[in-house]
Amino acid sequence: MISRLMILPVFGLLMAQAGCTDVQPWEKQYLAKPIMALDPDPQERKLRLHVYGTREGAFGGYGVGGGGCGCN
Amino acid sequence: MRKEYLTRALTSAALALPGIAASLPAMAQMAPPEKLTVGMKWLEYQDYNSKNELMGVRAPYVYMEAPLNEHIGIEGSFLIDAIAGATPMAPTASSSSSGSGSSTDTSSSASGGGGPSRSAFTSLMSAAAQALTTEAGSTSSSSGSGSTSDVTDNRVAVDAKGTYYFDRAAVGLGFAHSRESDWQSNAGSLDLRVATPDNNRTYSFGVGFTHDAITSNADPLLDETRSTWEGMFGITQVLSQTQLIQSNITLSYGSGFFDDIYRSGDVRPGERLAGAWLTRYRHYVPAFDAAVHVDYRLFLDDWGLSAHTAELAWYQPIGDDWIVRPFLRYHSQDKVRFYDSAAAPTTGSGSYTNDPRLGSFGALAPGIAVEKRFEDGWTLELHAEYYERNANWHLTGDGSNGLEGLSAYVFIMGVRKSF
Amino acid sequence: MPVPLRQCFAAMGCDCEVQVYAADPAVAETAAAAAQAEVRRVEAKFSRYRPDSVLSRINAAAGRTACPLDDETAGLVAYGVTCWQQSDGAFDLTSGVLRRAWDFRGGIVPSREQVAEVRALVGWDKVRWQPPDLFLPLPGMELDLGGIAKEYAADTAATACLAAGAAVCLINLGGDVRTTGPHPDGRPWRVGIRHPRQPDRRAARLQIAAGGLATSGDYERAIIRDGIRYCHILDARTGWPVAAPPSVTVIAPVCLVAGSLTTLAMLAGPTAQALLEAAGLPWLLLDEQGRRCGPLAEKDLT
Repeated sequence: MISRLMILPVFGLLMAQAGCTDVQPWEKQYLAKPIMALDPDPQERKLRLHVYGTREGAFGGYGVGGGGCGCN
Repeated sequence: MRKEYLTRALTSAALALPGIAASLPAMAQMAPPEKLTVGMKWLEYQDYNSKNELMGVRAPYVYMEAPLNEHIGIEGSFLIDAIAGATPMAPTASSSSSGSGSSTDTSSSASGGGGPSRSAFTSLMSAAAQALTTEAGSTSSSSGSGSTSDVTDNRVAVDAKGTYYFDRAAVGLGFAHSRESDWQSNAGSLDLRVATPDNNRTYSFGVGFTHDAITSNADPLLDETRSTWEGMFGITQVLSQTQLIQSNITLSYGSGFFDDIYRSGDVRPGERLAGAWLTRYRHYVPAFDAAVHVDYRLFLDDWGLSAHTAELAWYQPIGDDWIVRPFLRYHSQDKVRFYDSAAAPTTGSGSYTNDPRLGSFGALAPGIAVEKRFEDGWTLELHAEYYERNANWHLTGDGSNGLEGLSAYVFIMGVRKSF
Repeated sequence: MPVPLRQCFAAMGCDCEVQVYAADPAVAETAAAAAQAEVRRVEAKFSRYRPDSVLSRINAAAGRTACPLDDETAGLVAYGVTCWQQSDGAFDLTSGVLRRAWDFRGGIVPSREQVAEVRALVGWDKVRWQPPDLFLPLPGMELDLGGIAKEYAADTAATACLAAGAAVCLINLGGDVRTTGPHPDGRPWRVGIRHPRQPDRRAARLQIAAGGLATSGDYERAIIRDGIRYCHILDARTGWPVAAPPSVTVIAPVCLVAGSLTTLAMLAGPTAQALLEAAGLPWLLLDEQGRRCGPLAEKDLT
C-alpha cells in the first residue's frame, strides 16, 4: 500500500517541474530523436506484452482494443 | 543573464521571418507516417520449470504501416503463434474429485481419441483428456506435483487500423481478430489524440470492445463467451528539452467466461473489473547521446490481484547506424483471492484456481536489444531476454507457497524496410 | 527512391551549390532552379551595387526622409537589431560604411583619423527605427545587410526548394550551408572545414543531418602588415578589427542563426569560447595550426 502511494509524489514532482519550462518547437531536436520516443518500436512492445501476458495476471495500460487470446 | 538567452533571442528573431519559419520541419503537426514501412519479426520463446521444458512458441509476425494521403495513415499486422510443447496441468493426485468444473465430467467422450484423420486438433483433444483422467501424464515426464501434456496449437491474429490526422489531433479506428482451436476473439477500438497549440501536452482517449468465443479441445460441448469493455485516458507532457512523460489510466470491465478449461477445478468469477495506471518517462542524456526509459505500471482488479511492473532501459546509439539497448524488467504481483497452490477444494463452492499466473510472485527479466540501420532504409533488430519467476521475489517477499518457479528465454529477430 | 541532383552557380560574390533529392528528375530540376532563383532574388533586393535595390533606395534617403520597409526587410532589420543588442553594439547594421576607410583588397591599413571620420556615420543608436519606418539621420549613413543576407538566402532558398517539390535539399552559399534533412537513406551530409592558414587543406570534416552550418574565419580578406593581422571583421564601436579566432563553425537550426553566432563569436575575440559555450549549440573552433576545439571536435570524421 505504502509503496503504491509513493509513486504519486514522485509523479507530482515531475509534473510540477513541467510548469516551469515552455519548450519551443525549434528546441525539440532532442525530443524528436527516435530513441526519445514513448514507443520506439510498437511492434516489439506488442509482442513482448503478449509474452508477459502468458505468464502474468496483470494486463493492459498501453492501449485499447488489442483483442484476446486463449492464453488466459 | 543576457548571454544565457543569446541563442533563443536570435532564433526567435529568425523565426519571425516567414521565409525561415517555413523551412523548418513541421514538428508540431500530427501527421501520418512519412513512408511505407513493411517489417517482419520472428518471436521465439521457451518456458521451463525445474523439471520440464514447458511452452515454446515460434511466431512469425508481419506488419506494415503506410500513409494513404496527407491526412490518413493505415497499419496492419498478421501473426501466427505456433505453440508447441507442454502445458503444466493440475495436480493429478486428486483428479478423481474432478472439482466442480463441468468440463472434466466428459472423460468418456474424449477418451476415444483419434478419428479418421489424426489432425493436430484431435491429438490435442485426446492428449488433454488423457492427462485429466489418468494418473500418469502423457509423453512428458511427470511427478507428484504436476504432470504435463503435449500441446500443439496454432493461433492466427490479424489487425488493422486507420487514423485520420488533423493539425493537432488524430482519430483512429481499429479492428482485431484472432482465432485458435479453442478461442475466437473479435475486437474494435476508437482512439483520439489532441495536442495543445504549443504541442507540449497531448490528451489521449480510447474505448475498446472485445468479444471472445470460447470452446475447448477437451470438451466439445463447451461453448462460452466473454465481453470486455475498455476505456483509457492519458496525458503526455513535455517537461523540458530533454524530458518527456506520459501517464495513462485504463479501466476494463469483462463479463462472461473466465475459467481455465485445462486446469482441474478451475472456477473463476463471471466478471472482472480491472484498472491499470501506466507512467512512462523518457530522459535524454546529452553526454552519451543516449536516452533513459523508465516505465511503471500499477495494476489492480476486483479478483484481488494487484501488481507492480517496472522497466528500465538505456538506449545507446553507437555511430550512425547502431542502437544498443540493455534493459531490466521487474514484475511483482499479489495473488487473486481464490488462488491456492494446493489442489481444488472438494466442497466446490466459490472460485478456485491454482494457475501460477494468478499467484503471488516476483519476476525479473534482464535483456538486451540491438538495432542496425542499413542503406536504402533497411533495419535489422535482435532482442534477447531471460525471464525468471520466483515466489520469493515478490515485492514484500511473501510469495505464494508452492508456486512453481519458471524461467524462459525470449528472442525476437526483426527486419524492416522503409520505402 | 528519390533521385539526386547537384547544380553549381555563382552568386553573392562566391561559389554556390544546391543539392536536391526529389521524386523524379523533372521535379529535381524545378526545385534546384527555384533555389537558384531565390538566391538571386535576395541578392538583387539587398545588393549595395544595384541602384534599384531596396537597400540602395533606403541608403539614398539617408539624412532626408524615413523609408517604409516591406515585411521581409523589416524582419531582417529586426534580426540585425537583435544581433546588435546581443553583441553590445559590436555588430551593427550601419557599420558597412567602414569599408570606405578599410581597403582590404588593396591591403592598406588606414590611419586613426580616417577611421574616426567614418565612424561618425556608424551607430545603430543614432537610427530612428519605428517599424516599418527606418530613418538614417545623417547623409552618408548606410544600412548594410551584407553580414546576414547570405545566410538568410541559404535558408529561404531551402524553403523555395522544398516548396517546389524537393524531398530534401542542401544549399551551400560560399560556406554558409543549410540542409533540410539527411540523405534519403538517413546518412548525414559531410561538410569539410578549411584550414585557417593553408587554403588547400581541410582541417575538419563535420556531419550535419539537418539545419544550418556556417563558418567565419580571420583569413578571408585580411591585411597583414608588420606582422599584425587585420582581419575583415570590424568592431563597430571602434572601427578597428578584432583579435578574432582563426576559424569558428557553428551548427544551428537555421543558417541565419549559425552565421550570426559565428560572427558574434569572432567579434568576441578572446572570449569567443565562452560565448560559444553559452550559446549551447554545437561549435568548432580552429587555431592557427588547425587544431580543433569544441563539441564538434570529437565528432570530427577526419
